[in-house]
Amino acid sequence: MTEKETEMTTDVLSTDSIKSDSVLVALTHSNDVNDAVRLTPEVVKEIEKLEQYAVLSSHRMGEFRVG
Amino acid sequence: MLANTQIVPLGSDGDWANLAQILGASSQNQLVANLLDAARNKGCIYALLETPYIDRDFTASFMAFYASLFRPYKKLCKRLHFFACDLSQLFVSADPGEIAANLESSASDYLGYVVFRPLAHAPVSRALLSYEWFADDAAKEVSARATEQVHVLGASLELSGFPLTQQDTRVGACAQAAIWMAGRYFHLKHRAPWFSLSEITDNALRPTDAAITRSLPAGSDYLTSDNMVRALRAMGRHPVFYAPHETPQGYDWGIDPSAVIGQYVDSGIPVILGLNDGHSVGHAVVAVGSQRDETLDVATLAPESAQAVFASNFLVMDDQRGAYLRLPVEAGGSSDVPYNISDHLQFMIVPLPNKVFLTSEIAEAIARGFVNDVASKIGRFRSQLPAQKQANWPQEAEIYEPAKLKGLVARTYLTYGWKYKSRAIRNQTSDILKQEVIKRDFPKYVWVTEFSHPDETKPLDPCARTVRAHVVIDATGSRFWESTLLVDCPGVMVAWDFDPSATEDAARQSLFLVDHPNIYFPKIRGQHTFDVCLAAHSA
Repeated sequence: MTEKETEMTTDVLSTDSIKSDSVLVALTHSNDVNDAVRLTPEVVKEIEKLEQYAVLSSHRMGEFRVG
Repeated sequence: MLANTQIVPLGSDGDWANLAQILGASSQNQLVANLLDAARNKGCIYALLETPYIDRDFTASFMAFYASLFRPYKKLCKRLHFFACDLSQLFVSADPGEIAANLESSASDYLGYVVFRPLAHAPVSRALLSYEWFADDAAKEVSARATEQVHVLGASLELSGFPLTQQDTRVGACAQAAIWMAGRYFHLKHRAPWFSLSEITDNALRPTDAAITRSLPAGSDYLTSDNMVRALRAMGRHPVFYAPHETPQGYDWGIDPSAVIGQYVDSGIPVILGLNDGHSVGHAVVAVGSQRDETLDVATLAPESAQAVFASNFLVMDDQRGAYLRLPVEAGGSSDVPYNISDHLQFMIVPLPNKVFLTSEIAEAIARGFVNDVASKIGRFRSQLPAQKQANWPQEAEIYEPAKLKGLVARTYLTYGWKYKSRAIRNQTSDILKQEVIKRDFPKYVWVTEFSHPDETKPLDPCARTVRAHVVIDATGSRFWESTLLVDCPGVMVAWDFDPSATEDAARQSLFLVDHPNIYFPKIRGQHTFDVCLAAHSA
């Protein structure tokens, strides 16, 4: 086995070797940079509202009877 | 013990009358009558009757209650198997091995079975009816279904469906029956522990509330929703309870209950529905599937609709009426029960597994929030591309137009992380998505939200539906920290990763701008690959 062949064999021994040549741009960054995809404050507020309903709705409803 | 197995021909009115005679007073019961009618309508022409049959469920009730009564009760049951084929020659051969083999050759015509208690007031101990036979309409999908190996005459027959029981009014109510059905499904499907009705009642009454002791034995008239949640917790489930908020103007759910029922049922999780028809004690049924409305005009859909908008009915197990019955979303539609979601739903209990800390509606809100954020940044992303690539990027750019974006129909479901991975790498998704997915580890459960244009997710045939974007969220996550694992939209893929060796716990995001078509199949129930769809498309 030549040196080059050995190198190639080693290269494909893990999933790290799986790379796409069709990516146009690849960026890795933290969540606080401008281009980071994140939930907007409006969406967070919407989620808070759903959670608030969950708290309110359990009031006394646990006593409803089925039989 | 000698046990007789009898062939019962059911080809004529007289045959069915004869079966009623064999079953005695039980045949007068409404549920039994409904089940026999349903079997007949689905083509049952022969049955096998096992007498006596020792039923583990009734034995448990017998030990817990009937054996302690002064009046003597019998514990032996009967089991009736329905077939849509001729069994008249089954015993012609004297070779028992041949009899079993002949019966197994009738497996595709096996409709299911009913076990009868020796109790005229509550004859159905349990039943399992094939969803393929009893919900055979193409518009119906029984999403929560389990498979049981049924053993009769030395033959092994495979049967898929959702278990049904009937409340034994002497010791329990429909609440226990609904919990039993959900619990037995998890036992069959996920090897969860086995629970009898009497164990469910014991768990529901621990602790016992004063009011419930007005019925003797306690819990025989009704359970409260609190009792039901206690029982489910004791059974190892982690139920989430939904109910409306009482306001001076009436009940306010704050969510669309049908959308939420649809999300859980589509995840293969049955939903216990508490229905209120104005009486002091309501009724509980279990939602296990849905029926799609083929005629829905997608132009009339509200913005940001959920997939359940296509459901005209939910399919429910009703311990007093039968299996896979249609419970309409709104009043006025065709129905098998005297209730509808809009007017009668009082609460719902979702018996989640452990390690699911995000509810479906919040997962969907997060998913939609991320897709909207990608849309808002698409211009900035485009500017980062080489100049010659910017003009026609991304393919399917119209999805980011405000009207199209609002019109996307979301389908949110819970699935195993490994199943998501298995499906994603076999789908028609982009290579880059598959390559990034296979490199990553996923939590035990993930919420997946698929986004589709309304007309592309309307067809009854799931292979004819297409998905344009999807979001994967860690089901153990929270809005308080980064829970989203992956966002895949036309031209843009984002993945979040934690570095176990990093000192800070924030995830870093990897953004990939790609130039692939983003049209793929939705999750197809019961399929880990998309071979069925590919074959259908190439045909």
